[in-house]
Amino acid sequence: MKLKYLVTAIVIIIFLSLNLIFSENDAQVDGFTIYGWPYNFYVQTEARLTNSSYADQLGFFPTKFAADLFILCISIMAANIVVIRIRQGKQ
Amino acid sequence: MGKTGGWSIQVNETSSTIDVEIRLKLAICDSTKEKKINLYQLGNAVEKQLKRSYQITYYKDTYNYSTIRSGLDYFGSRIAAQPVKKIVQVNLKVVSRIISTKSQIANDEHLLDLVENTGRFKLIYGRADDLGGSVVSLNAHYVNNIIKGLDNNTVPHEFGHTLGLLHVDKEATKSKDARQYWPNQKRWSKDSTNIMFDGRSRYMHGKTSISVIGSQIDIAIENYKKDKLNK
Repeated sequence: MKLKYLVTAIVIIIFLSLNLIFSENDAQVDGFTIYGWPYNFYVQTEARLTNSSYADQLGFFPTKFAADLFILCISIMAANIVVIRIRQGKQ
Repeated sequence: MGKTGGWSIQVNETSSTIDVEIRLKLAICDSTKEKKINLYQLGNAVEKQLKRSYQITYYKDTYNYSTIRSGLDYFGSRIAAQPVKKIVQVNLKVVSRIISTKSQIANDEHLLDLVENTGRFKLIYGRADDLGGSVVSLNAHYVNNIIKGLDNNTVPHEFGHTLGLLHVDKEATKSKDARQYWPNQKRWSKDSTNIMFDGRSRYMHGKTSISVIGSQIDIAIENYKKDKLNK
């Protein structure tokens, strides 16, 4: 399957926009700095933790990052298939 | 004064002293389902802790300005600046009231909100909404420690953020406001019991990290004058 550049670019832009919309940048006031959608691959805080074991829930999570990238790839493929089918239907 | 929020700061300067009058209007709301916490006791504890941390006295290098008349025709008078060390006396007044829903908050108040111990909030004791913001949220599960005096840091620390204070030991502070950054070798000597250490700093202790230094008060005053508070 040949990917359409425009469709691919639109999906990437939408995906990055969703990442930006759902990101937070409040670590400096003891909130959370969160990146990644639908899975948060980066979570950080400068706050005092209620339990030191919660430090495991902070940092960069490669598996979640990979999952986000996988979902992006699936979305690009799906969008391209839909566009190709629509075009074939018109012809 | 900003659009919303309860901080107001008045500075009265004489030739030898500077009196700083900090006033905080506060609305306390319990947003949890159970509403078990005695908010009157919390209000008293908040006032006590803020006063203990922020009511300080320190010396400040400044200038006294005086006009020197020339005494000669066509020669204008000059303004002379004489360096002087003034004593700064900080006075803090907290006026608090209890509200049942967040919508009851007035424009000239800060909100102290008690939040359920769920989701990401489970990880932390409290947070401010923004630097110079007007909402402080506390994890309701740990509020009794504040009332009992076991946690003397969370309240002054979070209200410090609403005064525009940053974590003194974070590298990111250097780029945001270098005056607030303390290099590693100076942390212990400057003030190891300061309220504004990062949550995972070796100097951060819930019970004993309670002090504020003069330069932090100066920054809060400057932020207030530049309308960076009460956002």
